[in-house]
Amino acid sequence: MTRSRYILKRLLQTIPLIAGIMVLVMLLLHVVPGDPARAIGGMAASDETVEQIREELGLNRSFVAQYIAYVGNALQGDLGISTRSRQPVTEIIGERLAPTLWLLTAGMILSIVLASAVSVLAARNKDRAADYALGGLTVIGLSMPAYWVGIMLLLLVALPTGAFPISGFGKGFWGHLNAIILPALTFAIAISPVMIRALRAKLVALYRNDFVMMSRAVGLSESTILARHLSRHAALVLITMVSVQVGPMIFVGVVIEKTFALPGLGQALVNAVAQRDFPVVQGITLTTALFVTFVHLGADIFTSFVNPRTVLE
Amino acid sequence: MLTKALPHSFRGRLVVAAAALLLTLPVAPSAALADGTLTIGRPADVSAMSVFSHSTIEDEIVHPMLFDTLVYGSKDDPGYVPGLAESWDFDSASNSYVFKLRANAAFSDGSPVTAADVVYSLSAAKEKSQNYKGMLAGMTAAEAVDDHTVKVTLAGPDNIFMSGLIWVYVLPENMNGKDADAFFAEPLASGPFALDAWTPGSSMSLVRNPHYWNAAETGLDRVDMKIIQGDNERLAAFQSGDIDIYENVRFDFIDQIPEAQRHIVSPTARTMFLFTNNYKPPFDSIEARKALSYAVDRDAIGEALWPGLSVPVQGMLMPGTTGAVPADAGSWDFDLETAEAALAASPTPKPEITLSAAYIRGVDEVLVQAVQAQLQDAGFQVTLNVSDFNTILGQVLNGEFDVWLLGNTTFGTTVAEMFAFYGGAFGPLGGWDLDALGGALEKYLVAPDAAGREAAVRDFENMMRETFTAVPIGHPDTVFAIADGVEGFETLPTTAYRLDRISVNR
Repeated sequence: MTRSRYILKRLLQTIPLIAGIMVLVMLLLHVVPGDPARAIGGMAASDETVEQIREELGLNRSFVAQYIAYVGNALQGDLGISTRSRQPVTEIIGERLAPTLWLLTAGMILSIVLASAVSVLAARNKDRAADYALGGLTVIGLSMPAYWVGIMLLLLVALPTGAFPISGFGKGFWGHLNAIILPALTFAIAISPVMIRALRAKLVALYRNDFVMMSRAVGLSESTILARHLSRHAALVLITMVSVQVGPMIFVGVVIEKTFALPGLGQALVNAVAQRDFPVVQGITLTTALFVTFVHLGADIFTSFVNPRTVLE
Repeated sequence: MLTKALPHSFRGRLVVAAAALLLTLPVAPSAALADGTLTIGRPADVSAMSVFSHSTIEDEIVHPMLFDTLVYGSKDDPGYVPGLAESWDFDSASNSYVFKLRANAAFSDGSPVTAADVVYSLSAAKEKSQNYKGMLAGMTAAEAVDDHTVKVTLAGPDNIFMSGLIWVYVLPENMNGKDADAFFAEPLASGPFALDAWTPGSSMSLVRNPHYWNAAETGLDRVDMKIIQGDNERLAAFQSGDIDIYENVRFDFIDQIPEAQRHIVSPTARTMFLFTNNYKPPFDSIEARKALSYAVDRDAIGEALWPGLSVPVQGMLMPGTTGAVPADAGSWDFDLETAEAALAASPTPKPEITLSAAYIRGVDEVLVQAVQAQLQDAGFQVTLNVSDFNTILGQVLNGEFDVWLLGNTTFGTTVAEMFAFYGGAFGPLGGWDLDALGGALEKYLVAPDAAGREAAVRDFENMMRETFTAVPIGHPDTVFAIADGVEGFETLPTTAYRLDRISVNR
């Protein structure tokens, strides 16, 4: 199979996937206990108000009609109106996207840097004290829930030093960067242990290969061997890990946004769920599901370039 | 080649990476309080900007700052004081009020607030307000006498109407031709502040409205509100100086707040209670409800969960509200033997019940488990149903519950609002005696004086106590933490406070 055919095939596969995601998103409204319109209206809402909400949400129509209308509107960039703030959902998502992207990007970079450094150190010191110590640290990292790590960083770093804001996203580039450091570190502590374990195992296997021994024999330094010969293999492991972990990453991001009061999509989702703002819940769920889908797609396409054998054969 | 440009060892690379990270560390953020700016950390955002959806304590604090009202809530009798209306006269013969508006009142764009705006706002509130239109039900006509005088005619004697004016927010006539969504997206303010920025669920900023009729006494130039949901995070934000007002301090965090910075609201306008489904067994039986009430050891709960931070149970109406009086038909005391006897005499002597609860508004895991244990001691077999508030509410609205443990706070400074709310919302859902409730409400509505209103409230409380229609548990306080330099912070028992009365002095 040629690469272009492979990419086309993967693109076509995403269409039914997205259609399925939208069905699940639509079902959100229908699995809520009781009448969602009544739940939105609250205890004192009159029947007239409840009927108005029902009409606005389209609940009076059949599921198929609702689905077709939702897909049609979504294709035109219309994900509905928030039942609370009365803002268009796309506008809410647009406003909230930046902090989430900052968090995911900074957190991912930090995770990759941390995972690479620790894995290399552990692999090169296999079965020595450093390896065991780093292995222990990854177990501790895996055991600590992100919200707890976040609170600890707030109490032990932000509060005594005063160098980081306790909450919010800051203003301007440097303000954003300052505000994102501790959330990104929390993210990395939560996400990197799994990467470290996978990458270390791969590097240990690679270090046993003949070509590594040959490289050493011809006098190449360890860092040169790593950079020239092992980095491509390591990159594939990291891409796979990012791709596999993107779902949990979104979940961790939601927790971190809540802990640090970052005004991102995760915080908006939590608020919308609490307020039964179904259009916003649906919009953010759809956005994150599409994000995960496209990360997987991107990872596959990237891998087809870096290591064609794995996907094209 | 990149690898040659970098230090050879990985240790070297790590040092470079660490140094790069350190270089990104900026200086410490400035203190939250610049002169004239106040920062508040609160657990939740307003439910909506539309005043017609007004339903939470956050709405109760923000909406009156953006939209003026004829009267302002007060903790002193009769529960309200002049606001946009500097005075009013009541003519008992025609059941009409004539309100005199402040001559210098203006919207945030400088245009005057006129009687026509007030007339429109009264009609709009009566028609559209989701939660408070009932309090304006007695209003039959509103008319502009002149630019600064409004006449309101009532169908008859109505002791609830004036309390209801606390929620009639003054908007420009016909919302300047905009629909509600468009208007509230960029609201024209008539109150002490105007909206500067709002990211729903995250933050809101208000700026001083220089055209407000009492702008000279508005102490703040700017208010920033941050939504920080976590209790730990809100505490950390206060301790770091990130916020100046820390709303809803958890009782077990109080020791971490210096005594001078604590602001305790006691008594509040909150009642924790057990709301029973009286339509179906076992609580369609008065004996079962009686057993439920006698099984709850309120003193033990108060001492363990709200040590020194609650007032004893007075009744279903909140002790912090003007006009609340206790029942004189017995007490709400704990008596396990009576509880067991009542349960034995009920049609279902060993009832299996579901105790529903959401961890919100003062309800937490410990309280729920304490109540569960106490009910089980009396012979109830209790299964917990803990979920988010809206899920529980959805179940209650569909009648799918046995008993719901909840904290209920009134936003009214008088008993009138809660009286009406019990009648309009809880009563029909719980299967209360609506005739008895309506009779007490009607008596309150037309009572000619305070003694008459007190008698009506007592009728209601006696009815609740004699029939155990619902079971109150306690009235816990509310605690705020206020940073040094914040002056003029004063709350109503509802825990609402006016931002325009606050100033900063650092």
